[in-house]
Amino acid sequence: MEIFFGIIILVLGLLYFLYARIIRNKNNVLEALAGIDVQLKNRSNLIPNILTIAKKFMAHEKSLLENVTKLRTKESEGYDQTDPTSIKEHISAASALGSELGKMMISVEAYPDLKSNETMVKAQLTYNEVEAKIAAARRFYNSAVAQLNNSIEIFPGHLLAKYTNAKVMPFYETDEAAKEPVSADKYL
Amino acid sequence: MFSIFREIINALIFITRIFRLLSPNLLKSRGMRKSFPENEPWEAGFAGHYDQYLSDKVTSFEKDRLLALKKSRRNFLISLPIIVLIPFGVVNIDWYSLFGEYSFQVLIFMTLLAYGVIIWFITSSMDLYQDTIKTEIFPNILNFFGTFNYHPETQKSAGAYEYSGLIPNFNRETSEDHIKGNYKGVEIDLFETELEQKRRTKKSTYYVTVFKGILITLSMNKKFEGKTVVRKDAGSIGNWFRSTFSFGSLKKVKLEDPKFEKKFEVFSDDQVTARYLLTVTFMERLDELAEVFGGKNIQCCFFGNELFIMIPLKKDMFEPGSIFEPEDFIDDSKSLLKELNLIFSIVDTLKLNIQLNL
Repeated sequence: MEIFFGIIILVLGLLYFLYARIIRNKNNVLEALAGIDVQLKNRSNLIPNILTIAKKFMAHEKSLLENVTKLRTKESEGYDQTDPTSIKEHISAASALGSELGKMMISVEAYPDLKSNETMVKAQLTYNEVEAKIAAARRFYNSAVAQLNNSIEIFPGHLLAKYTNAKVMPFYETDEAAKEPVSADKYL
Repeated sequence: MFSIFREIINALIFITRIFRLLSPNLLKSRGMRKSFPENEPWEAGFAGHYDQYLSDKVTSFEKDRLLALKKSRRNFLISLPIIVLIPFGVVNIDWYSLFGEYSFQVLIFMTLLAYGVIIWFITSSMDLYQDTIKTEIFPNILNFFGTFNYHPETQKSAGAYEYSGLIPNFNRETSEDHIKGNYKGVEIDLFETELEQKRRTKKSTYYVTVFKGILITLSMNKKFEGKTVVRKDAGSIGNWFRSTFSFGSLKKVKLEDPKFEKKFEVFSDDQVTARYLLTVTFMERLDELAEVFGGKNIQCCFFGNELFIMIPLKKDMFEPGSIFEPEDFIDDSKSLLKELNLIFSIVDTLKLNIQLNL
């Protein structure tokens, strides 16, 4: 009888340990997501300043600048932090904006006056800094997501997942366009 | 066991050094080299500096060197009968009747004291001369790098870095050779230190070295908040203890590089900042730096916009050349330039001077 109760206590203890681990991993993902949002907000706040200067010099890149504005608005829209689909859309928007901004920053190279503009130089430095922080936040998020997904996809975690309301979360992958090699010819 | 072996070797080197005082050629001033040979890449341009700041001091320092050796030899000859008589005293005096049950301790204490005084009597003039090289010549060598300052006595204590959580508990500190300066826009502040911990047995108290090497702070090209600590890996149980008990509010940071994770453990109070500082490239560079210093025991802490690095070293750095060689400051310069090049390699390897976010 004692052995039976011993086994029950052991199983309950193990279940509690797994349950607590999933909750902890879920909260880590939320923390990492909040970290990304802080950095995305910093980038978003920087965009109007960059666009104001860029518009003066980059008349031929109108569509690119408009696209940046559009994507910024899309990225700033609210989303449900507990819904993987909503998170995925938010991440895609952020990735697309990052990609367009990257293109814009490369385009700046083709405009010597803009490139040497003091405000633009400062904006580029800040942009690089913010992008580095976004990359760091993304690494933290992906690490947290990997831990959560492992804990709820591997047996017996997947049995407990529904009781903790934890779902498999999407990874923050960089935009496909950003992975493509950039041709320097256009800017030389 | 290894430390006892090392102590025996050091003692033998020391005895050989003292007996060199009896060499017949000791006080002969041999031909001195007049120009600095630039043999290594890091010595490029130093010949001109040598001619301007050091060569005119050679004659007077050579005179002082010979005087110091002469004094040491005289003191050695005076002490020689006492050195020989001490073992006779140890054997022939009835220590037990004089000091009773404490006779063995008194015997050891008296013998060590007597030899200690004799060693000081013989070597003090040589040590004084070596100190003069450090205070008067080293700053002139370091002037080569522009803004560098050298102080034989350190103005800092290892305790100043306890915030990092990397400094082991210590009861005794011996620090020297404080160097401060700017290399490629990076502020460098370093000193050499030996930290010892007091241990007790039932019968005696002794000290064990818990760290010997250099402590360096470097200004960072990135602004950051919070604290991130990179420690050598202590195995899964050791790491668990550290993350649970040693680092308080700091949490373990799991990084992507398995090679880095095998050698180091990272703890931080800000997961994003830790990854912002420890980029994949920076991790590779830190790993490379550990190889430059011959192992994986490098530890560091990012705090207050500075990078603090602890590098354990067996060898004493920033020491003058042998007093038994004719003085020309060439060996001193070569050794100091080589050691500083090693320090500068930290800035170059970690690319702290470049604002690339890599």
